[in-house]
Amino acid sequence: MLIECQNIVKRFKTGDIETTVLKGVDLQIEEGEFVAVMGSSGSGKSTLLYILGCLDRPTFGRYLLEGKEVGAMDDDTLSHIRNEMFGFVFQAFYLVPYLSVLDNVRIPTLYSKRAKTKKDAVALLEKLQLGSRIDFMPDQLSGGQKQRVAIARALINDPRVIFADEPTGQLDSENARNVMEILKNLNEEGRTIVLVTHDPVMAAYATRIVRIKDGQILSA
Amino acid sequence: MARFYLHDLIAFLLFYKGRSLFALLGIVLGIASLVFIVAAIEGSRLKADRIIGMLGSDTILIRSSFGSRISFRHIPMKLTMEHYRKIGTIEGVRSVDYFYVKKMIVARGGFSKHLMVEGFTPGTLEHFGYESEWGRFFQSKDFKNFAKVVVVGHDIVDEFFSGKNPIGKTLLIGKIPFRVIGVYKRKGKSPRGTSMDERIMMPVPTYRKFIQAEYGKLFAIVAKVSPQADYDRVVDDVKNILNRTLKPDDYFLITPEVIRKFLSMLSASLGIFLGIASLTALFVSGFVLSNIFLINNRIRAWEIGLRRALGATKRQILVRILLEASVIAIAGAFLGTLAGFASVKYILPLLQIPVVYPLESFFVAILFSMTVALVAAWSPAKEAAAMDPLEALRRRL
Repeated sequence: MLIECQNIVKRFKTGDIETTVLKGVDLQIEEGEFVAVMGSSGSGKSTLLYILGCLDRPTFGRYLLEGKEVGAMDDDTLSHIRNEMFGFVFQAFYLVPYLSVLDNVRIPTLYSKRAKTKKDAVALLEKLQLGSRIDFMPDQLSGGQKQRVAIARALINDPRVIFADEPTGQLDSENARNVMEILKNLNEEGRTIVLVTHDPVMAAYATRIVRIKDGQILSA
Repeated sequence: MARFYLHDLIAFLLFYKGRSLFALLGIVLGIASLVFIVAAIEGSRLKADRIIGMLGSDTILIRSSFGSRISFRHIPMKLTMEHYRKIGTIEGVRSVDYFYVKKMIVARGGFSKHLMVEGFTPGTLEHFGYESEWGRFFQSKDFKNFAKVVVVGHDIVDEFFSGKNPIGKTLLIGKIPFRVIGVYKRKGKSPRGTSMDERIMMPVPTYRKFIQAEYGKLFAIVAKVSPQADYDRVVDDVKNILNRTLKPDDYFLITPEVIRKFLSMLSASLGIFLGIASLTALFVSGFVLSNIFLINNRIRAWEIGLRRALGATKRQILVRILLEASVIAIAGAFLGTLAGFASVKYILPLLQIPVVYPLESFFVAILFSMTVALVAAWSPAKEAAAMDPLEALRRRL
C-alpha cells in the first residue's frame, strides 16, 4: 500500500473557536491509482490532500506512507519526501514572478540530490507543448499555459505521486480539459494522481472517486 | 546548479529592486565613510612620512611663530642670530643653517603675482635637497657681493618665461630687478598640497639687503643632529637655549615626532568623528535591512511556502535569506568602497591630506557590511525558515 490513513482527525483553532475539519478519515491509495477526492467547499478535501502531501500534520490518527509512520518523521525528511517523491499542482499556479518559465520548472532541483539538468526541464516543457515559451515570464502566459508550467515543475524530479488541488479551478473548460488529459496521461505512465475537485466532470477522469462531506468520507 | 541558485537569488533582489536598493544605500553610506576614514588615516601617515622625508629624520626645524597674524608678509620674528650661534654649539649638532620667507609681488612684463621669496644660506638649499636643472646655484661670491640673483622653480619658469630657459633673464621682486641664475629640478607638491616649484630663492645677504633688513632676526633655524648623538637630548638642549630668552609661543619646534603626533591627532579626531558617523550609518542600515527583509517575508510568504512545498528544508530557507543579505552586503561593500574612493579623491585634497586608495579598506568594508547584513537578516531569516509551509502558501497577497 502506497498511502494509508487511519482515523485522521484535523482540528483548527481560531481564537477560542475550534473547528474539526477532518473527523476520522480512513483512506488507502495504491500505487498507480488516479483518485479524485470530491466534495463541496469546506468539506475538508484540501486539508486531506495537504496531509497526504506531507504539507500538514493530522491532529490525531496515523498516516502511513509505504508502511512508514509519517507522524514520526522529522521536518527535513518530510521536505525530502515532498521534493523527490511528490509533485504538487495548485489551483493558483504559484509561479515565481521573477523567474522565467524554464527557471520556475527548475526550482525543485535546487533542493534535490537528483542530477536533473536544464535539458531535462526543456524536454519536459516541450512534452507539455511549452517549448516555445521557455524564456517567457509567468505574466506573459495564459492560465492554461501557467498550469502546464506548474505541472512541468511538479514533474521535474520524477515524482511517484502528484497531488493536484483544484488544478482546473482558474481555467476555462478547454484548458481544464487539456490539464486533465495531461494528468490522465501521467497516470497512464504509472504515476499516482490524487486530485481534489468539486467538479464531477473533472473527477470523471479519475479511476476512483472518494466523496467527502463535513470531514468524513462518504464513499471511497 | 550553483549558477542557477545565484541567478534565482539575484533575480529576486532585482525584482524587488526598490527595497533592495534601499537596503543597499545604507550600507553604501556606512562603508563609504569607513573607507574614507581608513584613507584619511593612511594619508595622514603618508603626509607625516613625506614631511619627515623632506625635513630629514635627523633634523630639528625651529620656526618663528606666526603669533596672532597668520601671514607670511608680517611674521613677528623672535629668533635671532644669537640663538643660531648657540644652537650651533650644542654637542651633537652636526650643522646649523637659517632661512627667511616673505611674500612679495613678483613681476615680469605685464604679469605679476604674490609669491614666496626665500633667503637661503648655502647649507639650507643643500639641506632641503634642491638640485640644479638649468644654470647654477649660489656661489660664495653671490653671498659676498649681495648679488641680485635668484634660483627659481619650474612653475615660475612656466608663468613668467612661458616655459623657456630663463637663465640670464630678470624678474622684478618688489620693483627691484633680479637675475635668474638657476632653475631647480621639479619637487612636485608639498604635503600641504601647494606647489613646491613656485618658489624664488636668493642668498641670505641679498635678501637682507633688498627684501627685509632684519639682520639680527631670523625666520627659521635648521639644525642637523649627528647620527651618534641622542636626538631627544639635543631637542631638550635647543629648547633650553630658546626658553632662556623666548616665551614658548614665540617659536615652534618641528621634529619628526611632533609631525607624527600632530598628524596622528588630526587623523584620530577625523577618525572619531567619521567613525561615529559610519557606525551610525551601518547601524541604521542594519535596522533598515532587517525591516526590509521582514517586509519581504510578508510579501513573499507564499513563495517561501511554495519552496517548502517543493522540498526546501528550513535550513535551506534560512541560508537562502542570509545569502540574499550577503549579496546586498557584498554589493554594498563594493559600491561603498567606490563611493569612499570618490570622496577620498575630492575631499582629502581639501584637507591637505595626500590622496591614497587603501585597497585593504575593501576587506574591512566586506567584513563590516557582512557582519551588519548577517546580524540584521538573522531574525527575518529565522522567521521565514520557521513558517508553516501551508499557512505561508495561503498568504498570497
